[in-house]
Amino acid sequence: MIAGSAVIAITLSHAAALEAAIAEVRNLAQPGAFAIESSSPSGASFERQGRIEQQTSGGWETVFDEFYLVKNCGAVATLPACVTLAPGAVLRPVPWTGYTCYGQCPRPCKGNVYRPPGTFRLVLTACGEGVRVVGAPFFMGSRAKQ
Amino acid sequence: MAATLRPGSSHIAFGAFPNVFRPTVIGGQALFQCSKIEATGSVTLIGSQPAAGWALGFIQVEWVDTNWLFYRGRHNDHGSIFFQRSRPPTRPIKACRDVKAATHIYYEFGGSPPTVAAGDTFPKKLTVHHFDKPGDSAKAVIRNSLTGQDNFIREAQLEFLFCAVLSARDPAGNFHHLKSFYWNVRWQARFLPHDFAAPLGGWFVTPIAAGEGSARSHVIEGEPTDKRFKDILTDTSVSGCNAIIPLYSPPPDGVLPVGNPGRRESNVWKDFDVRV
Repeated sequence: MIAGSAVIAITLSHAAALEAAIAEVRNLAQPGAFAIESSSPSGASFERQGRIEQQTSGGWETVFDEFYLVKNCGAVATLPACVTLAPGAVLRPVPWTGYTCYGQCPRPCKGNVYRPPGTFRLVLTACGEGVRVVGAPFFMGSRAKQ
Repeated sequence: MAATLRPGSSHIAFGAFPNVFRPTVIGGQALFQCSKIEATGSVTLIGSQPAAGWALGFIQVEWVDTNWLFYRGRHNDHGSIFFQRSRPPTRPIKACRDVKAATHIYYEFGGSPPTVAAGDTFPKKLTVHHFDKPGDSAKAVIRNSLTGQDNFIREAQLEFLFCAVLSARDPAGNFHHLKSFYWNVRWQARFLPHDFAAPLGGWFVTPIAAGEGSARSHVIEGEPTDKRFKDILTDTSVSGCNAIIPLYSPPPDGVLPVGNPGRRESNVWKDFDVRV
C-alpha cells in the first residue's frame, strides 16, 4: 500500500513537473478567456481540443469538451490533431461562453445549457506523453443572457 | 409510512420565452439561433423517512425535427446541392431524449437533480430549473463535386419541436410524470451573398414568415399520452439528441460528404423534394 502510494506520488510529481515545464494557462479578465503560453525551450504541443471542468461536490466534472485551440472559429475545420506553440508563444483561444454545447464555436445543439454560476478550469492534454495541463480555477457568474 | 407525492402539489412556472432570431451568416457560417427558454418545476413530498432517493427533474424529448439546406451555384451550370438532415440515416430515429448520455433520463441543468436526503424532514419541497437554448449552424459555401464550383446556401428550414416533462423518481427508480409542456423553435429563410466573390462578407437574409417562429403550450396535467414520444421518456436504449447530431453534421466542418444519402447534388439548378 505504501509502495503503491509512493509510485502514485512519483507519477504525480513527474506529471506536475512536466506540466510546469511545457506550458502555463492563464485566466484573463473575462471569465472563460485564457492565454496559453509555452514555457518549454522546445515549444509545446497540445491535443486540438481541451475541456472545461466545473468544481462540484463530487469533484471536477467535465461540462464542455469541445474547447478548440483556435484564435478564430473559421480555423476549426482545418485544425491539426496537435496544436504546437513555439517557445514563448502565447495563444489566446476563442473564449468559452459558459454553455455546454454552443460553448465556443458555432455548432448544432438541442440541449444547450448555460452552466454558471460556478468555479471552472481549463484542462489541456499535451500530445505525446498525454500530460495534462490544468489551468487555475476561475469563477463565472450568472449574467444577463438572452 | 414512507414518503409520497402530495396530490396536487406539483407546479411548473414559466420563465423566459424562446424567441427565434433572424438567421445570420457570419464568418462563413449560417447561424440559426434563439433566446433561452426557462421554467421551474416543483413538487412536495409528505410522509416520513426512509425516503432518501426521491428526485425531481425535467425529461425533455425532441419529437419532431425538420432540417434541410439547399445550396446553389452562382450560375445554372454551377449546380445545386440539397442536404436532408432529418431523415434516416442522418437522423435514424424520429424522437430522441435530450440527455448527455443515453443512459441518463433527466435533462441536465446545473448538475444532479434535487433529491431527498436521509436527514430531511417532511413535508419536503423539491424544486428544479429547466433551461435550453437550441440552435444550429451550417457552412455557407460548399463545393459541388459534380461541377467543381462553389454552391452558396440559398434556403434552409429547421424546426425543433420539444416536450418537457416534470417527473419525480422514487427510491425504487420508478418515474412519476407529473406535468408537461410543449415548445418549439422554427426557422426558414432564403440567403444570398452580397458578393459571390466575397462570401465571408455580408449576406441578404430573407425570412419566410410562415416558417419562422416559436411557441410554448400551457401546462398539461398528468402523464403524457402522446404516442409520438411517450414510450421513449425513460427508454435508455434511445440515443440522446445531441449524440446523433454528428450523423448530420459530422466533424470537422459539419458537411455531409459526397456519397452520404443525406447529400444530393445536381450539375444544374434543381428543385429537390424536401420531404424525403
